[in-house]
Amino acid sequence: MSQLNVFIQFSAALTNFNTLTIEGTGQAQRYYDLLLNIAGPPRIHALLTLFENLTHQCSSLTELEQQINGKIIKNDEMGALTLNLIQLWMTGTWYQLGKAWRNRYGKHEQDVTHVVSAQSYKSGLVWLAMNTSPSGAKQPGYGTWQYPPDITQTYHAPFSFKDES
Amino acid sequence: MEKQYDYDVVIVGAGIIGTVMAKHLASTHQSILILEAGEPVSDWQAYEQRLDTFYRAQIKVPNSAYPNNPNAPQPDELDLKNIGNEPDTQGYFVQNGPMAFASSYTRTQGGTTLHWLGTCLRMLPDDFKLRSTYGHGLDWPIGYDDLQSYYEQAEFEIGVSADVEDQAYLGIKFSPDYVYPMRKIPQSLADKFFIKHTKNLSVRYQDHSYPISVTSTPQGRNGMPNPAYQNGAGYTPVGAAGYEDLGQRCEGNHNCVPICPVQAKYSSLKTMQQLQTQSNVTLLTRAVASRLLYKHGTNLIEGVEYKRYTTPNQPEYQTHTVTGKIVIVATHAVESAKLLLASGIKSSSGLVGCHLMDHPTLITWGTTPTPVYPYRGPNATSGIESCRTGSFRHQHSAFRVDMGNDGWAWSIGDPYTQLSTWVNGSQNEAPLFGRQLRERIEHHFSRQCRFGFLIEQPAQRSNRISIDEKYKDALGNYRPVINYQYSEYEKRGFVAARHISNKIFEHSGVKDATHYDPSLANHVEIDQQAYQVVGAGHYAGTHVMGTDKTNSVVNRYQQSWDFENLYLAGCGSMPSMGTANPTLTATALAIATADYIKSKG
Repeated sequence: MSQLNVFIQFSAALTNFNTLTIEGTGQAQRYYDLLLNIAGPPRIHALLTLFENLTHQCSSLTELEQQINGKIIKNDEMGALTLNLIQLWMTGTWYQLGKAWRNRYGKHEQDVTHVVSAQSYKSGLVWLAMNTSPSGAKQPGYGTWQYPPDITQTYHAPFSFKDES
Repeated sequence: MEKQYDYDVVIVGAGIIGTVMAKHLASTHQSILILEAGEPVSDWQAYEQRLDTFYRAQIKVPNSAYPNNPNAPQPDELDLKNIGNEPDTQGYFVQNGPMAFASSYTRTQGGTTLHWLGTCLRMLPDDFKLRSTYGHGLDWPIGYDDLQSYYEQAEFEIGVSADVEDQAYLGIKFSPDYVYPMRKIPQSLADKFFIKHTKNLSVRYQDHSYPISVTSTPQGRNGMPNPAYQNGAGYTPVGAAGYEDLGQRCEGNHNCVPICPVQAKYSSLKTMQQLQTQSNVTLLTRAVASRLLYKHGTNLIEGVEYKRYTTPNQPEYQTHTVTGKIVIVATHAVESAKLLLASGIKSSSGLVGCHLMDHPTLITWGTTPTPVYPYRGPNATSGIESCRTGSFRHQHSAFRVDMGNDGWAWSIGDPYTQLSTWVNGSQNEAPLFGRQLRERIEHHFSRQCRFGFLIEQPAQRSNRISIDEKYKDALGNYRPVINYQYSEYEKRGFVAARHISNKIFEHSGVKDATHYDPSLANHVEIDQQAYQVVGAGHYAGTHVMGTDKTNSVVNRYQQSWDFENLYLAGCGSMPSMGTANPTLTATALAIATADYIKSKG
């Protein structure tokens, strides 16, 4: 599996959206490149390899989430990057990494708080998770707000975590 | 020989007041020039650039779609802080305090209707006689009846959606058979929740009981046309300026403030678009009026001096003058007063710049027991209007409740604020991701509700804008210096508002989540209870109308008492706002003034 595909699977696991939704945003390559630029390819490859190995070792989503928490989120070096990636997917905004992380692992000029692009804002997954549309885009139409949203469409079941390659 | 003028009418400001007046005068006056200080928004593409700016803005405050222009600067909520012993000069305003004036406006073609919510409440008959009835603030020289037919015209210009049967309360009257141009905008799920849970709920002040009832809000956004409009002629919604097919209906973008992406919401760009077919109306943008020209001892304004720049980020400009038989200053309550003061015009009454008003706004928020799915629909579709007047106004401010459909966006900056806390973890909780995060987002954000209590602020002379040689902008024009505070009358209004919020929340099973951050601007304590007051963007009162030159700046036609060809049009002429968002009333006044000018020939 390509590193980008692993990145998409990793993103799916972190956000609990399926890989089709992740890919459908059109942002995966851009976010992957941003992460490579800010944290450096060796670190990101190590992170994705770690994740890919976990998917092979785990037999359920619950187990995988436990492993991600223990091995990645709680890891000083990888955790901050991962939490930032979740916020990036949710809002389209990259938040500058913490001072301690930057001092320890390196500073990069692109590591400043910014909305990646107009399209990244509109692709923010938090709005989907809220069963609405991004504020100011993807309008649902006249009068829709007087009824509950249609939440029958499920974006869950992030991916089949057994190796698909 | 009669004096020759460059134009019959020179209007300063291409916002709603300036453009509506130009439209009404275009049939009787041969040449009209509109001077606009800000950047042009000349077509749909230019508007889309603002939309793109909004998408890219990290913090989406009301002006986030309209970047600050150093040559025509504007205030911004992000500039606010608690004011200490020294004036706060960080933003465009020089804030002398003691409270920060916490509202913004927009200096771009289209003006603040670009980012307004679009609420089109009429004022109540009581609001016009606040001083004589309740002993506070100022009276108007006219009453509701004088404005009633102009309200109807203003509702046409803006394109208001509402049902008369919902709006005929507390003395508001309509012409027989009148209907609004469009039917009411559908109410949100949160509105319906509170309609259900406030049945039979009331509050007592002194000996009177006031029912707490939820009313659909009249809105300047496109809904379903009412076929009964104008005796069956109907109404055709006005689409986006330069893209007429777009914006025929509100599409539920829940982004009225800062920018409606389809222009279903009215902005004065639409009126300007209608003026494009008028060859006798000229718009000049990037032209900042800097002085009104007159000879001392005379009662005529000869013309307007303005500074023309070519690009916002370069302070180079050329100074021009233009003469007009009639000069209309309609460039926002603060900017209009500033222009007069910069011209040495304090008026016979000395009241130019005084009586600055807003609606100090108390926000409360909570969690509903069942999902109401906010972050959908227009930012507000209903309000609680029952406390807009009553005998309690002897003791404390009246208020209305703006019922938000925007979750806790205005309250604490959600969904961003809590999302960040959940993802990054806090002292109480480890970081959330995956299913837990999804569940938290879905559960919590679907149950957020928010009230905004807009507190009546009677005119006080000491709340004012002034100018100071020390404070100028890039073009050498004055920056507004603001003195502002809340009165005890208003503070008692905050207390009453908070009491009602508590009562409604308790009655509805809403868990109150309101908390105020003492480090933010305008944190006040009353009887050991904390309050945080924000602005509503409802500037008014800086060139009030009155009955004579000693008690006011303009007469009932917004005509200067001191210069007979000068009209100061806009919210600045209003001696009170009551609890109504002022734009509709100012638009009605603008049309009345245009009629008066036409009647004079």
